[in-house]
Amino acid sequence: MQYEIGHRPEFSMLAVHLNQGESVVAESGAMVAMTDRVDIKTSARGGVWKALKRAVVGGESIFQNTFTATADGQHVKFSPPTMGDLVQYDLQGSMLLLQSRAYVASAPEVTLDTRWEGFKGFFSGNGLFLLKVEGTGPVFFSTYGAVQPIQVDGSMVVDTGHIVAFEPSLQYRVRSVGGMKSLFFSGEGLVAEFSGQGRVWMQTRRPSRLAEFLHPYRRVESSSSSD
Amino acid sequence: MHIQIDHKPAFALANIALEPGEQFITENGAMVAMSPTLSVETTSRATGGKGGLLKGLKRMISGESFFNNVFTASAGPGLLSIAPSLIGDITRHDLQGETLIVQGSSWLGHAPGVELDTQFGGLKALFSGEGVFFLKLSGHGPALFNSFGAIHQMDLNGSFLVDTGHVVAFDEGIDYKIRKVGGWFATLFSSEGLVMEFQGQGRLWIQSRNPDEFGGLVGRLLPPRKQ
Repeated sequence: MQYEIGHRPEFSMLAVHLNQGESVVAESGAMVAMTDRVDIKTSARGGVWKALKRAVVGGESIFQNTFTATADGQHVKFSPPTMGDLVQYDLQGSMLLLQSRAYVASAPEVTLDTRWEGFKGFFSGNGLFLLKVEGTGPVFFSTYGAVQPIQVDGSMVVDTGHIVAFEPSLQYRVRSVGGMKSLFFSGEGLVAEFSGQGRVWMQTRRPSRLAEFLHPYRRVESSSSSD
Repeated sequence: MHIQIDHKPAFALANIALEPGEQFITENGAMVAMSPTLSVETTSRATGGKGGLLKGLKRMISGESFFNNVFTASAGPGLLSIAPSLIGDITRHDLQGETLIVQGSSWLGHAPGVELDTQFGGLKALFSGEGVFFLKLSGHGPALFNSFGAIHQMDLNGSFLVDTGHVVAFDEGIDYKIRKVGGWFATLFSSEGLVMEFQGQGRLWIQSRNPDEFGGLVGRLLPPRKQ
């Protein structure tokens, strides 16, 4: 399998080249275009329970698509829903923690699992959760805006809406910025304080702020129903 | 302090390195990441000094909440990364005693030597009904503006008409009038023919996209909201 990421950094798109029998797995809806000798199999990957866990925890789509070339020289293009960048991370029997909506594609030997956060809830609702990505091979994830990787050596505080991925060597603690008054007035939601050593990938824009900006522009529902 | 702006021009991020004791003031919700040596305080700024909470509330009622975040490197040197809500650029401007008039949504942050004053040259934005207002920035030190889209600096010498939603900032010495143009001429402008007519000499910054137009376009496609 060969791949390249084009149109960086604003409108990044992934092109995967497959020879006969080779496969790539992708988030449903990520496919942009493909050649005609590619089979698509939609599955609840990792078994039904794992897929249900993904769906129940976050409204994430339960299905993934596996693209398999039935001849040499095939290619498939993928893109994420947002404007911004695409990052390739090569797993070597290792693990990466990935924000659920950032996942785009991966090699078939990479498994995706929901990592149950419980009270440590990383994101303040909105159906976001952490995916545990592990195995051998590349995983591709997207950012809204530019990607800013930081090498944490000590500690760093990051707004959770800007966190896309991080290495499991890091410890983290989720809290609100500066206490209750700050939470209400400051516009900041939850932050994660990372400590130890490892990389965190941040995105320079946050979808929730776009949503907040758009909210006043929605038409106001009239109290009397009209048909 | 040292300010670096990365990921220009579409997804700009401002990285501010603060020496111990240094401060930086930002708009709400701008924080992306920070060193844990920084503390955050939410305050309302009125005339450059400490505004009373009542003044903050008054501004809320008139359509704009004006709570700022003050970041202080209280436990040592630290890094603060901030970003605006919409995609676009960040520009640094160092004030040297002059006064700039800045559109409220274009102000991102500044160092304490810069004074922020709210000026109610306000008018209702066409689509959102929210207030469009202007701020005065004066004093000495760095200020950061954000633009929706690209930022374009011009040297005004004479007379110039700009669609209100595209104005980022201008020198105080320039005369301006906000007026509504009518008839066929109004069709040249968005914002229902609301234009700023500038007259004089000085610098003028404009942005290549109009947030209100964008909000109006997308907002009316979203489901209606209550209230």
